Amino acid sequence: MKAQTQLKTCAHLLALLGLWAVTLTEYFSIVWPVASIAVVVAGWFYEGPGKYTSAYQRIWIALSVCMLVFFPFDVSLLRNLLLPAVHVSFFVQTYLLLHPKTLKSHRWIFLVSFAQLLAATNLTTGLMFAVILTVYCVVAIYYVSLIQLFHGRQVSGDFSSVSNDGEVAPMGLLSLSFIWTLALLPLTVGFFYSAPRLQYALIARGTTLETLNQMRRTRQLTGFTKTVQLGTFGQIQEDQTLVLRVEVPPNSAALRMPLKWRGGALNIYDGIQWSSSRDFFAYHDGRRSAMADKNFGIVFPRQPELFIVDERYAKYRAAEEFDADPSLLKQVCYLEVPFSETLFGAKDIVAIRGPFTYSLARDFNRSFSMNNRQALPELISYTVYSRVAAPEENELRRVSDEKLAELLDNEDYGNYVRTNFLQLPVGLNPAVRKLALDITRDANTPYDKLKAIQSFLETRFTYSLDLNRPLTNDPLYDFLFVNRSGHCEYFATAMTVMARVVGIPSRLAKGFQRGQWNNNGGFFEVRQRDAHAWVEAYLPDYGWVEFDPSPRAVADQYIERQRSLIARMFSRRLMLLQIQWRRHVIGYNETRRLHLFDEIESALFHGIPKTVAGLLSRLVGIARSLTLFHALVVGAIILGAFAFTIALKKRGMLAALSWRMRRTKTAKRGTLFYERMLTLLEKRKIIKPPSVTPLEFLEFPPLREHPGFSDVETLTSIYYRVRFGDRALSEDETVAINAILRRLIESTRRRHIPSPATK
Amino acid sequence: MTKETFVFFGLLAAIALAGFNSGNNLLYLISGVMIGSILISLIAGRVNLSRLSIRRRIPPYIFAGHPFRANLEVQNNKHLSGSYGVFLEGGGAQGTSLFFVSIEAKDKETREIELLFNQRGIHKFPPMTLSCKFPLGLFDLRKKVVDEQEIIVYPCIHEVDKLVQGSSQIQDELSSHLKGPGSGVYSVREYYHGESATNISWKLSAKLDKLTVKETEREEKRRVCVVLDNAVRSDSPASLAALERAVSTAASLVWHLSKNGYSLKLVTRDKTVGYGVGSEHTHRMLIALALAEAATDSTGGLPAGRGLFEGGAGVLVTCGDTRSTNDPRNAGFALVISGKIQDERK
Repeated sequence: MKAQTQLKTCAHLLALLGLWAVTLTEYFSIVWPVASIAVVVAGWFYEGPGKYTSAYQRIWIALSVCMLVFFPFDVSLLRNLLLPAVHVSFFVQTYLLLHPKTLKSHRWIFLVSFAQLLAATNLTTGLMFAVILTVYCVVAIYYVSLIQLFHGRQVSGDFSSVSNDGEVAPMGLLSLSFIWTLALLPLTVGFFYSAPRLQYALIARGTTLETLNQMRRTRQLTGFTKTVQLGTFGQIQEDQTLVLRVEVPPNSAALRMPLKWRGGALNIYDGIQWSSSRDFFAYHDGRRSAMADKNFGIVFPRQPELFIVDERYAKYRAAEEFDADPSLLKQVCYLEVPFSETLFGAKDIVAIRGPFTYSLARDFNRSFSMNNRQALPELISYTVYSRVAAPEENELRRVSDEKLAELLDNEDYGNYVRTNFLQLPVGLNPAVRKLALDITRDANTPYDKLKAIQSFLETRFTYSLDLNRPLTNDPLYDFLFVNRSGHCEYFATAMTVMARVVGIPSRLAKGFQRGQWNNNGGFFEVRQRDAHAWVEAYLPDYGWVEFDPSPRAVADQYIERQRSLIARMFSRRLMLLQIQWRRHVIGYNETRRLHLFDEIESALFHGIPKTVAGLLSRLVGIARSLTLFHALVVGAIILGAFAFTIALKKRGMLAALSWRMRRTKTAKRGTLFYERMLTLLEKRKIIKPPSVTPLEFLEFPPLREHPGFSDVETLTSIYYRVRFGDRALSEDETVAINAILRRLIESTRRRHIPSPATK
Repeated sequence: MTKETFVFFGLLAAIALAGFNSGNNLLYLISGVMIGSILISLIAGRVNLSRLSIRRRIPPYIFAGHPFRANLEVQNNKHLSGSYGVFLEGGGAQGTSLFFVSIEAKDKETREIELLFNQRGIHKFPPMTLSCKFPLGLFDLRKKVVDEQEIIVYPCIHEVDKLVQGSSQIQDELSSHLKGPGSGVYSVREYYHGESATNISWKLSAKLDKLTVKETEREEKRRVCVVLDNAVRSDSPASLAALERAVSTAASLVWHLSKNGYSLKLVTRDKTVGYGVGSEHTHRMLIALALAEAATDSTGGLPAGRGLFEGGAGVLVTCGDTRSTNDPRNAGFALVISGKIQDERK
């Protein structure tokens, strides 16, 4: 490819990368990246008109004025300076691309694209940025190198060395650029991981207002909401976005369990919306809470970074004790959604460990959340310990109606439960009440009643993500008697309400399904589409028991079918990359840096010396354990090896292996043909004494009589030129030398074949 | 450091500060890339200039006022990587530099330049320096490859035919090529039977396919002693210009006669180069003339008498203001060329 074309290609690539860096972010719709491609392609084929250039310039001046006038409006409209600046950069890059490309405009294209890359650092944290940055570095180094060559030519005024448009770019420059980019990688990584930082890796998006907006947006995500509202309609987005990763110990029984990552529960249903009681709560699983634990929903750490939320585990002093408890499931959760406040964990959470500076919040329904100020992207991981063992069906069936009635008859706790977990909406349709009683008519125990309701919903209703417009203002009635299809929130609402109708305390739990197990990473991938709602029913002696009435598997299969084969193949690998990116780049902070330095220091001053000392002690141990016979054998092997080495050295074979020798040989490679010629002549008994120069050797009478004397002369002259003229062999000379050597070999062979006359 | 370097460092400082202040790791990443680029720029630039050698090839004779072509050869002795965007300073005229786009590994690039020296004497080629801003233009790296080099520029040479027209003796000398023992070729003829076989030129015989004899010129008659009277009356520019003309004339004579196979001797007021032939001898005389300085009468007179010529013809070149052409002391010279005559004949 010609140098000019390469320069142009690089310029357009850089422009595209810069435009993509800013437009492939959540702040821009898909129209912008597509428009970027259009601009770059247009710039490739059109660099302004041949005629009417002044008119073309005037149009651009008018557009520039419009852009300048629009800029303040843009700023006030978006209440942000960065996005309007990106709009301006888009305009400037378009201007540069649609004009003739001089060396100066090439520099401007580079600068604008770099500015866009800088802007992108404040617009995205995605892996796409890493990809764009990598490609940008490769292209930019080559591009700047080419600019240097063109600039050098311009400065020196030397147009003879590089002709104008027809000049091909220097060979090897591209590969050299790749090498430099590769060399850039460790340097960048070295700086990145060693540079000091503030304590937190704050990804401040400008003002506090913007941060709060981010939090608000996160709260609106399904699974993260504080409330659940029925009656909405439309298509629920089958969002594949990863929201949570949960690492569980390998080979854990949890891998085979239908786990759910509970983000909280809601107990008040007003006929449309679920919400949580805001009252002071004095009870936990039927037991009155200890005074220390009922601090109006605030959980303080018992140990540094350790928050015990179940008093039965208050005796545990360290996280290691939780790790060692076989009845608990350890889950390391990685929040992939920035600005999330909700803490997720399986089933019955007993302790949470994480770098929370302040306390944790616990609401009426045992939903845990962190302080807003901590809800920042760097806080991306915490550990949860949960009891996940579910009681057997037979055990649950032992809970009788009488036992439940006894609980409800309790003066304090009964009232508490009735108020909060048996609450029904005021205008509940009698048909719903009747349906609940009909379904559970044949059930004898509370558990059987719950199973009957679950079975009814699972078998008679269909799961659908398409939400029809409600016909009445009672979404539950619509679901049960009109549409007979809905998503998990409808199923869970129906079951909770019907359970309450038949007198079983229950609430609606929300969070995420287990997600897919990622074998490569050893964790569950929990995506946005895994957002789920289910039911928690209270059974005396067993506490809150989970029931899931949604036939969700059908929907999951449907969604899985929608994903292309390629997406399925690459999504896991890609996800791992994204996770590593978030973990090791985006979330890297001063704490981790110090930890990393400690690890390096420990490896240098403790690990390596310890390993060496261990190795030495093992060697000493082996030496001590040797018997006399073993010692003799080892001694003989060492002596044998020594003798063998000396023998090799004496024969000069060892020296041939040394690098110095090899280097010398390489240096002499240019004149090896002469040595080859001398070898061939030696076969004809024409031997060159070492004291004789090649020119003097030519005067030797036996050599002069040699039929190939002229060839020998030619080789000698080439030898002199190469050896003393400090000049490499040309291709023609190499060909000539090979031909001469072939002739000499043939003449040597002929000499060896006795002629018939001699015979 | 270049202007771009300061801009780059300023930008880097701003980005690094923004990264530190905001905790935005992507800004740290870009700062890392920029710092890496600085190191890469330094290392790659050094590698780019390493193992480059320069050779300057100039003609054996350089005459004042005569433009000549010099070859500059930059050799890349690296085995693997090429060198790109290399400037060579000091190779040509002052203030100009040559640009080499690329010099591939184990390869060389040659550039021909035209140079001109207007003054005779010792001149200095400035030291040759290789420089490059390659690859990223952040650093202007330099490497002095060849130190200052001195060369001797011979006096300006011009045609001498017109000058020697006035001297029948020199005219005779120039045209009286006689056959005899010597080194110059007189003629080529066929071999006569009975002649000594040593006279046969075997090479010519082989070429012409017949026995041929190369006859040589008689040498003893072709001796010319060029005497340069480099005394000037004053240090005035006119006198010095006259001296330059005289030196130029003497050099022209030396060059011309030497080319025609004469055995030459050069005498100035302060230096004498004895009779001799060949290019080396010519060089010696031209060097003497290149370095000839103005002398005064007090420095010492020119040696006089026929013994000075040692059997050859004498040519006196004067500046035209110390001894008149009709001076009786000039009587022994076959030709006397003064500044005035030079002016007239030019």
